[in-house]
Amino acid sequence: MEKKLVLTNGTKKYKLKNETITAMDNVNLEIDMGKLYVIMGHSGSGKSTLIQMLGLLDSLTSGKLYINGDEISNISEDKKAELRKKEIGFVFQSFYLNPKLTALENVMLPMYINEKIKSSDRREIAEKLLEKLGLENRKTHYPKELSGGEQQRIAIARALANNPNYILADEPTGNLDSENEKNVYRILKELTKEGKAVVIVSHNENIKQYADEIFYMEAGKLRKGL
Amino acid sequence: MKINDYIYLASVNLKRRRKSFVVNVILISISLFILICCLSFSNSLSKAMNRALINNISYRSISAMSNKSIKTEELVDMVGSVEHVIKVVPQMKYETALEVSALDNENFSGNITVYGGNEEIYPNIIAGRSFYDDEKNVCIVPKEFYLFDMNKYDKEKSIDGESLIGKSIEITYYSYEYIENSAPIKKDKYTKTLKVIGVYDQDENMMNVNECYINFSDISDIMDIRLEGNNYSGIDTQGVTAIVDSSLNVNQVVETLESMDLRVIVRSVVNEKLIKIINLTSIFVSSVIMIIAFINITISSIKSIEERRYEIGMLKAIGYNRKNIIGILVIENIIIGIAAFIITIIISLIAILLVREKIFSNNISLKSIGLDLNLNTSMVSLIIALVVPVLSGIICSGKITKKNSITLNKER
Repeated sequence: MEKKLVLTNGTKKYKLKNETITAMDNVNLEIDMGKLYVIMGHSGSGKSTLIQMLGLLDSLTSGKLYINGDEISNISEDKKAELRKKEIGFVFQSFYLNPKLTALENVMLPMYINEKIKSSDRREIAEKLLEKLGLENRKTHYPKELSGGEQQRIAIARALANNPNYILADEPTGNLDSENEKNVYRILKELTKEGKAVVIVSHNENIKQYADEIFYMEAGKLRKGL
Repeated sequence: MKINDYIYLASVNLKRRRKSFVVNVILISISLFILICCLSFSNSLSKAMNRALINNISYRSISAMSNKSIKTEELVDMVGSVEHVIKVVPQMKYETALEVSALDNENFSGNITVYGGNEEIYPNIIAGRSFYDDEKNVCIVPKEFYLFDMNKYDKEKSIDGESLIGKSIEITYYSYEYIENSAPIKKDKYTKTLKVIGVYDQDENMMNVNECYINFSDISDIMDIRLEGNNYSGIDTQGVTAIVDSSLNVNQVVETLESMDLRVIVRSVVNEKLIKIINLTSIFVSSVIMIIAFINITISSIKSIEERRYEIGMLKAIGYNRKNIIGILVIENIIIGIAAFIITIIISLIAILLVREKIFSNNISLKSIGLDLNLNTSMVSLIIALVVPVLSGIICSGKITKKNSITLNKER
C-alpha cells in the first residue's frame, strides 16, 4: 500500500457564541513520502487548523482524511492516538515539552507507549536521536536550562522517537532566532532524505528554499504555489 | 504500556514535583488525621459507654425468689436453664459482709461487703486488672474505698483504692455452733488474705464505697465454713442471683423467670434510649467528619490534576490515549494516598499514645475510655486515602482527557 496522507474536501468549522467560523474550507491535499511541503499564509488563514487536522489533533467537520489508504476521518479517539503514536510526529511552535523531564526523558516519552520498542532499547534510541541533532551534551538538562533552538531540536527528536512516516511542524521556528531557524529547517529537510514526509506550516518566507512543494492558505482555502 | 512503565512515569512525575507531592500528602494527611482522631475517640467513647452501661454488673444482676418452697439447688438449676443467664448463685453465696482485721499487713479494724465475680463477671476495671480464670484470694476494690460502717460514712476516712493495688486485706470470719432456738455461737476463727488486683468505679457501677468483688469460690468457701453444722432445710428464702450476659437481654430473662412463677427484682435498669442516643450521636459525628475528609481529599486531588492540563495535552499530542494518561495519574494518586496513610497512622499512634499517657492516665475516669487506634478505623482511613484520590483522579482526568491537546495547550 502506498504511503500517503490524503485530505479530500476537508472542512473545519468552529462555533463561537452565536457565530460559526469556517477555519478550513473544502481543502484538498496529498502528502507523499520523501518530500517537504510548506503551507504558508497570514495569521488566521487556517494553516494551523489544516495541520492540526492532518495530525489528528482535532476532527474534521466534513470531508475525508486517508492515511496509507485507510480512511481515518471518523475514527475513535483511541485509534487516533494509536496513529499519532505510530505514524505521525508533531512539532509545535511552543515546543510543548514536559518541563519536569530532562531532554533525554522527553525524547523517551513516546517510546513508553510503543510496544515495538523494548524498554532496554529506549535509552539508546533516545541518545542516538539527541546525538544526531547535536544535543548529546544536553541530555540531562531540563527544558528551562536550554535555549529555544535546543528545545525545538529536542521536540524534533521526540517527534522522531517512534520513527513515524509523517512529521508535521506548526510554526517550528516561530520562537527562534535566524541562526536556529536555519538549523531547524536543515534538520527537517534532512528527514525527507530518510524517506519521511515533512509538512511545515509557516509564515516565514525563508522556508521556501527548503520546500519541495509550496501551498498558500487564505481565508480557509488552499491553493498551490508556483 | 506495561504496569512498570506506569509506575515509573508516575514516580518520576512525583519526584520532579516534590513540592506539589509534599503539599498533597500533607493535605490528605491532615484530613485523615482528623478523621482517625475523631473516629478513634468516638469509637473508644462509645465502647466505654456501652461497657459502662450495657456490661455493668449492676444492670445485669437479677434476684429471683420462688413463691413456693423449693430447695435452693432446684432454684439454681431452674434459673440457670434460662437463655442468656451465665451464672446463678444462691443469694447467700453472692453477697456477704466481712470483718477486716489487717490492711497491708498492719492491724486494722473495719467492715466490707463482698460480691461474687470471676473471669467473666466483674465490674468495669479502671486500674489494675480483673480476675484470671478461677483465681482465688484476690479482690477488686472501689476507687473510693471506705472500710467502715456505712451508717457512719465519713469521706475523710476513705482510702484511694488504686493505692492498695498489690497490697493485702485480711478478712476474718467464723464457724458457728447452731443450737435450736438460740442465736448461733462463734466457734473457730478463720482468716483469709485477699490481694488487691484491681479497682472499679463504684459510682459508675452503682455500688457502695465499701463493696468489693472476690471470686465466687472464695465466697462459697467462707459461707460453707459459716453454715457448717447448720441443718437448714436447703430452702433459702433469700433466693438466687442470676447474672445475665448483657443488660440488653435482662428484660427477656425477667419475662422468662416471671413466667416460671418466680419473683424477680432487677438491681438497676439500663436506659436503652440513652444508649441509642449515644451510639447514634457517635455515628453521626463520625459520618460528618468522614464526609468532610472525603471532600477535602477530593478537592486536593482534582486541583493537582487540573494544574497539569498542559502536560495532559502534551501527552495526547504525542500519542498517549486516555487510558494511558488516566493510568499514570491514578498511580500517582495511589502513591500519594499510601504515603499520606502511612504518615497519618504513625502520627496518629503517637498522638493517641501521648493523649493516653499524659492526659488520660492522670484522670481515672478518662482512663476507662481506653483510647486506642483500632483496626476498623485504620481500614476506613486506608480506604479513604486510596479510593477517594483515585476516584476523583479518574473523574477529573477523564473529563480533561476528553478535550483535544490544542485546547489543553491553550489552557496553560
